[in-house]
Amino acid sequence: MKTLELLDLNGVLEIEIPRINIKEYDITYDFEHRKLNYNELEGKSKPVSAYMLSRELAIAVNAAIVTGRPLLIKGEPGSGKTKLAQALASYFYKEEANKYYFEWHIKSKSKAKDGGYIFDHVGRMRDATISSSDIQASKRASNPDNYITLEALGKAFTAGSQMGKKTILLIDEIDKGDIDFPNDLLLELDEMRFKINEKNDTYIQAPRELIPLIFITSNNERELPPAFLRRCLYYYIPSFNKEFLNKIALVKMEEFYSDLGEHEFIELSKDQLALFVDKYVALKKEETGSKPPSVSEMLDWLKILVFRVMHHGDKFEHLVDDAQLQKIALKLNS
Amino acid sequence: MDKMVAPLWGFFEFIKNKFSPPLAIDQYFYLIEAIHKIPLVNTSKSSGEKKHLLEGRSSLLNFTKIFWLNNPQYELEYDRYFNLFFDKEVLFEKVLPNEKENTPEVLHNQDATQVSNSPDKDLINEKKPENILEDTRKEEGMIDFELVLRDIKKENADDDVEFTRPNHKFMLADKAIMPFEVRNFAQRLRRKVETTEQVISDRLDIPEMVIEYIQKGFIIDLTYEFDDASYSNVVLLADRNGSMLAYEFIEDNFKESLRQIPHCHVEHYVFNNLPEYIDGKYQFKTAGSFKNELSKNPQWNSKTWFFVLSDAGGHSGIVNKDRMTATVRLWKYLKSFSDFVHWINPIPFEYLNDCTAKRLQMMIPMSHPDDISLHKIIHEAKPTI
Repeated sequence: MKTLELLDLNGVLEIEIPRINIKEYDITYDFEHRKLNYNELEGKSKPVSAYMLSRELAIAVNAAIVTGRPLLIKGEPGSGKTKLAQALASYFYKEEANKYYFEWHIKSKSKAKDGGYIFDHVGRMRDATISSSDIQASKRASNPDNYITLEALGKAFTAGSQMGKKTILLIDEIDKGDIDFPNDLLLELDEMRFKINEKNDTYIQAPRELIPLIFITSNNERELPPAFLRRCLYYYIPSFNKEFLNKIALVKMEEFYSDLGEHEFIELSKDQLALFVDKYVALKKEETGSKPPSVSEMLDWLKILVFRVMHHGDKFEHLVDDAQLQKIALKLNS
Repeated sequence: MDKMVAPLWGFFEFIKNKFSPPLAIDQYFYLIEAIHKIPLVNTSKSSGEKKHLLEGRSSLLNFTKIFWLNNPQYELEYDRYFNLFFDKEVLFEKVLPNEKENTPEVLHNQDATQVSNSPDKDLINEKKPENILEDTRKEEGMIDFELVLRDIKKENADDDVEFTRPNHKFMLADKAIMPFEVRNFAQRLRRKVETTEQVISDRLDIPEMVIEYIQKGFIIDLTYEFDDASYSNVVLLADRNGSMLAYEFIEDNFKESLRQIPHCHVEHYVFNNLPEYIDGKYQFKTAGSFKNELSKNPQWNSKTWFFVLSDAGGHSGIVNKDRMTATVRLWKYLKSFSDFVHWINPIPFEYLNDCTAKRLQMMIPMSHPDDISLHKIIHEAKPTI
């Protein structure tokens, strides 16, 4: 069994996780053999964006790895909370990240049970109804295993023991769920197991030494219950300083060129990037009546600028001051 | 044998009850586990220089935050407490100029409860800087306190049972200095005030019917899902006018908090100093009552929660024995229904001299309407295990 290595902090102020393409899989659960079947989707892959991890955040991630507690991440929208988990999956597992990485996006009607598994009651009803004329259907209906589909939490628990490696689970925007939702997750987070109600005494459980690395994001829209908070570690993504924004912009540049399908590109100078970041910080501080632009919006703006420079031959220094572009990209009111 | 040292235990003790929810002992052990398992000394690949992971105050501060700062809204206060605890001299001069008798050495040796008093006091002072008052005065629509009092006397000259509010806004009625958050209070209270019972919903319970069909081959009757039906009854008794005029915004925020609780039936009564007590009965003047979705209208009983919002003569500066007797009578009357009776006194207790409220405090537990105190009374009334 292999647990996750810690993030290497030796002599670095931040960790750059480069963009890579990861394979895609169709993952199904075979209840009879108690294992996940990975069916690689040939020719299909998806890119995981480059990510810059500050030293403080890397320490928090390491703390979550060694303690086995979920890391609750809060921060402004667009600050990179959601992307972190996938970036780390790609950092640890490279192109096979999707074998070990699972996402659970919380909605207002989400229930804790739905994260573990879904039971197809109606399908079973249908099979039971036609069972007199169809022996196969009759057989199926008699076995509840055939109607269970594991969801993110169930897959994360199962994949860990099956592959002998720690999995990474993202529970995204937990504050969107019902007020009782976090409390309903306490057992799952504490003991890393849940019960299948339709099968007596059947539990899906993660091995103790391979507890998944869980990231929970929240936009802080509402308070989370004390019992839940006590089980987590915390990290708040702060407003980045200019230096760090510069590094983020630099890392993302190459990705933009790739997105734009360009092989030859005009590289922006350090001064140009510094000018761009200065402008963004100034706009963020301005009181426009709208929400201050996030880092994600800053990167959209940069992407538009790069596109204009390459395809229209516009001068970067002039474009940065284009109020119309700023308004569109940064979603400013005025 | 060397004395065993628990790293950062003193700071954990100091900080654990400062924020809401309080920290649990598990959270201390998470930090210890991390310290033991994460390599604390890093070597730079380029220069070979060795660096401690927690080198420097800010590194240690950020590290403890991972385990103990559960809400970003407390971040500034957390930083302050951290500095307060670890600074020996400098910060004491800056932060607590009037409390020099609390030397850092004394602070380190005191137990957590004693220590918590001094910074709290300072925080209260900090929330009311003089410039807030000045700025607020300048705002349009605000008028002076004296003027407001005169207007009320005039308006209420012929009608002293109607505790209607003047049209003017009190100069301090500003949400910027609101000591508690409506959202937090409503969410914490919600789970504690509610009484739940199971009722049949109008949705068919498909899984249950499928199981019945599979087992029996037919369905005898339709099965419906059950819903948790919650209801709660909360009574808000608010002292108005006079010295309570300055706290009208707190009453508004209490009301708004209660409004946000689903299935909650709220009764809102107002009085001046104390509710009228005639022929052995209390006359409660209704300021309004409102029902939230699906709420019932129960009688006052052992599950009813009462909040009394009053300074209990705290602003008068004198001891009024009649008022003390009458206040204790009201308290006992409410306690005869339920244990969930809470007296909220908006005056910071540090400001109370020997007066009615100060003496009443010995008989009636009073709380300040700030986030931490409100959480404490809710939690203590119905502890979460």
